[in-house]
Amino acid sequence: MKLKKISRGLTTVFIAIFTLMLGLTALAVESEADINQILGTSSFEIKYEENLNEDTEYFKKKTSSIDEFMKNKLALIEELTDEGTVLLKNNDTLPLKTEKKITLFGKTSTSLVYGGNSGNATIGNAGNENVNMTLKKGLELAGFEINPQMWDFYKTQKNEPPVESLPTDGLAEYNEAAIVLISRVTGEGSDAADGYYELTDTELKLVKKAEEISEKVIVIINSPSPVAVSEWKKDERVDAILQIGGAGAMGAKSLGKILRGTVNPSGKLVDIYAADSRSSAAYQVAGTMSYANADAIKAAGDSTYGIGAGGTKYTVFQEGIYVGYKYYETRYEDSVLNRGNANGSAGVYKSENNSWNYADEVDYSFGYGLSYSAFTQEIVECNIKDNVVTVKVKVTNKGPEQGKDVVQLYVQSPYTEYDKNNGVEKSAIQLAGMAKTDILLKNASATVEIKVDLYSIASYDYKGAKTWILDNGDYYFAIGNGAHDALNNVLAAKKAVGVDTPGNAELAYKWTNTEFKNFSDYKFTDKGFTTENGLFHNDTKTVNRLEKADLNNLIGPETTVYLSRSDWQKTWPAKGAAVTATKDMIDDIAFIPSYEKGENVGNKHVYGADTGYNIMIAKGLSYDDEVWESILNQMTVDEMIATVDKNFGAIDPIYGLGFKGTNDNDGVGSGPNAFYLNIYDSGNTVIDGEKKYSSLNAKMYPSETVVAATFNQKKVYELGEMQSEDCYYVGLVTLWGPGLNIHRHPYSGRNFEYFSEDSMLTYILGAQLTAGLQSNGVIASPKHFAFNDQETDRYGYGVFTNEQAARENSLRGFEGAVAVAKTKNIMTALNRIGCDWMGASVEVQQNILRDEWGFDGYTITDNAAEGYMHGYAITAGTDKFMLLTGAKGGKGITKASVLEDEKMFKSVRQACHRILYVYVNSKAVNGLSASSYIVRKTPWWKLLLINIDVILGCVIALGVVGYIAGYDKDKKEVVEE
Amino acid sequence: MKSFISSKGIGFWFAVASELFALMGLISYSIAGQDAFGFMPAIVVFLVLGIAVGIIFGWRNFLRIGPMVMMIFFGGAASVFVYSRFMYFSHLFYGIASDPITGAMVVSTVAFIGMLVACALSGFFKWEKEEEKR
Repeated sequence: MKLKKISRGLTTVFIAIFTLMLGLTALAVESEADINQILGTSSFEIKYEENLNEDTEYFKKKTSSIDEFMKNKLALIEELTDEGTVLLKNNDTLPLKTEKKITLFGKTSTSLVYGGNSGNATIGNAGNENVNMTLKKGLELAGFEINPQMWDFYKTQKNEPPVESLPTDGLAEYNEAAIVLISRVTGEGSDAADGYYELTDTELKLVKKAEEISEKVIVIINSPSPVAVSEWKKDERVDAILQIGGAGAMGAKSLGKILRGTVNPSGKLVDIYAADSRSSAAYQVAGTMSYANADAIKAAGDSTYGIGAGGTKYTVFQEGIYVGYKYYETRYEDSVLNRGNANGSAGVYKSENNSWNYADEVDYSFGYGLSYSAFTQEIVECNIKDNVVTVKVKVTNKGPEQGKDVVQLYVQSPYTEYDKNNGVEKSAIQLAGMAKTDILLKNASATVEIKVDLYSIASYDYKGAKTWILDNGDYYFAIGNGAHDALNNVLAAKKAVGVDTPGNAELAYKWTNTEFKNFSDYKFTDKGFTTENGLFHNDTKTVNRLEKADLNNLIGPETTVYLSRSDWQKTWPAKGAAVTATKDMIDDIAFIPSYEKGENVGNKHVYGADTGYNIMIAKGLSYDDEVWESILNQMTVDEMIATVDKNFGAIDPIYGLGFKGTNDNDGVGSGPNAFYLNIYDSGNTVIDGEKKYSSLNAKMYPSETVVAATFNQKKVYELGEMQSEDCYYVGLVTLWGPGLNIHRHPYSGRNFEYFSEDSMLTYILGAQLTAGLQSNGVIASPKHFAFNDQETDRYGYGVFTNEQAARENSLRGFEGAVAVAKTKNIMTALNRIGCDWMGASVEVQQNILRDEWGFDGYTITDNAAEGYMHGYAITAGTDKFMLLTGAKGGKGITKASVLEDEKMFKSVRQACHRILYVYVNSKAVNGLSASSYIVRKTPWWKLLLINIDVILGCVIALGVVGYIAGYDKDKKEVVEE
Repeated sequence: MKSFISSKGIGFWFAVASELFALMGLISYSIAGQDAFGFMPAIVVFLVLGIAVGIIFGWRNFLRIGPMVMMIFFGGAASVFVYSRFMYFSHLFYGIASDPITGAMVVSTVAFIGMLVACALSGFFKWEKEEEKR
């Protein structure tokens, strides 16, 4: 009897385990490609029909071993953080040439922010101090001794402790310098809380405490966005301020070298440091609003797939083109010249007498950064020929330390009557190009050359010419240590009075354009800005594409008042009353129910043809080559669907074509989100304390903000090359990056993944990084295209904007990666432009991206977690859906729906064409040849799961049968009683 | 009724406990899952079937295989629940999960664990005191 109870109980337990294992097996099988990517396994094998004599490694690693690669990688990371650190203030205290015993203040000292705080952009190897260097180690390598009591105390703290609780032991001994670290960290899915970038009371007290114990007080800002540090800028007892951003694996070492002076800081600010972090024009309208008829909009959505969690929300880019420094600097010039009510009360946060004053509102300008040396710059040549501006600048190191210097070229375009009459806005100063010198020894000079296409300084006129224009009038090309310095140089050239700091007219070059130019069919030339690739725009004319993104067109004139320098006071952004979406707008938001199917496919199209083509026959051929017809005809509908609507970071093999598929993953911010393959393990690594490369995640790079702060195009291109090499060692083909949205305001949650508030800096560096990434068979995927410049309600909120702001800000960064660097993949955004989801916006995905910019790759959605990212979008610009297991997006693409809808069929086929065209010319086909073919094999983990399931099933069957047999006997016994 | 209750063994009461846990899981998941990414109707279906089967076998324990049959459904529900939680956490990793771990979801998790444990234990004990005499 007892045995029977145990038998029943155990069988019950086994049933529980069995059902759970079945669920796990189903999950694993559904995620087969992704699991293979994680475990480094494969579900196929390459075979060859004949002996292979040809070399099928079409793209090869550039390094001979992973040890060599890792050394190079760590060296580049160190160079990036060396050059990406920005010195904001220095009262001749830095470098600390002789000081040794120092005290670190702030919980950040033991918890450095290395990257973002969520998703794939976090630093890899978190908590592994062998890889991510601690600040203590970094400073000790530079010869400092750290107050051990304070260090040990902070190590035990989870959060920033009250200043009063700090240990006092050791303060008298370790007082040669006091270093205060503060940090901010944000991540995916939300924006920072209001006030997050203001100083806290504890931080202010920390600095006061530091001032009590040491004559030398240094503040380190470890943050993705600017922190409002006015108090410390003004505080004479604060001797130096450094901005380091998401530090990456080697940031601590770089900081040590900079503090010691073995590296001379040369980084420049990628965002303006406002005195109040909330004072930007864009922040006034940050976040989202709900439509007045939100309920009606929600009701109009498809009952199963909805409109997205943020579908009833919207935001309006009322700041127009005046994002970041373009607002502060333009208003500054207008206040100096007493124009446009620039001195009014609107937007006053720190100014006295309720009158806006630049010096009170801004601490450090965009592009600003100090050096331990003293560099001089002079314009030795400036000419405009064939629509290309060429500027040569001589840089001389007249200071005591060797170092690098950045030449920043800015332009001021005229704000003409035409502009005022047609609503064209002009920033008083905008970055046009930059160059960085090599290390210059004391008294050494170097001349750098910067080339700029006039197209790059044109303005988008969405009301008048409805294309890019170059006004006639006076243009000023100016150099300076940041935008404000350059603007003061322009004002000096204009002989303006009332500036806050006198500029140098010699550093500004005036060019008078006598001819109003329409750039609708402008072509780049190779004389202007190029990357190593240097490719150019298509033939399609640039015309208005985004009229449906402007509420003034959708609802009525004056619905949105965009910020204008014609009157800062009247046009200052403010969230107004919620708008009521019109019937057409609602239809666009809820696009699924209004989708119109095409005719039945019937016999009109060929698929699944048994023609025996191998994908490799198309290698090197153009997209339009006729062989593609035969290749695509051979794909079955199931294969087509699996190619466009399956997996998160992979494309399945297509056995009939001999294509082995791909592995793709995130690569923005800290680098490729993958571990090194175990085939490279040899018992040791070049990193002390680490024995296996397969234990290391490749995400070691600093945040994009740090990369951008280098202002070093060559290094950013090298970063692309290095990440490309990374892909060989982690087994990826496509790397989803770089992040090319802009820092619309400091509070955007993913600023650390994007370069800057400036679209031109994003354009240039995005192009360089993309070109570097794609230089050796890896595919780049700039993201998130486009207008994903905030995280709040990102699953479906609508962005309303005028086309000038769209073209000159949010779109510009992507334009560089596409039109110049020729990226082959691009990741679309979760949000809407106007009422259209980005993945279904024909205007953006087809007209702008492909027709105007010449994109010939494929688009992939961002994580299609929600149903509104519907399969129908494949007919409007999406080529592939990114699907986590169980994702609700990408629905509607089934064998039946494809075969009964010619429009869908053609779109899916076209997407396959684009995807295969990209990969047949990439490292994805390494190992394949015209005589190779792919056969299925079962990876070990799948075999293991199946075997466990079978064994459990047998045990349960035996248990049940045995128990029931026992029950009969038992019953018989009862009857006998 | 009194004799019905007094005739039941420990196994039966464990089964009742598993039924109550399942009911708790059904209610809490219906609340938590509404806001959660990855709400799975299959969980509700499995739980309802499991509870129904539990009631039937509680009334009359055919072949005394009640715990095993209940576990098929409760295990199925738990399996899909784990699946949905995996999806939630993978989406959370990518920063896109729309719900935090709410109190209701914590209750659901506790309920599912309690349901499985109680159901398993019910298999190790008699449902009818009569069984002991046999």
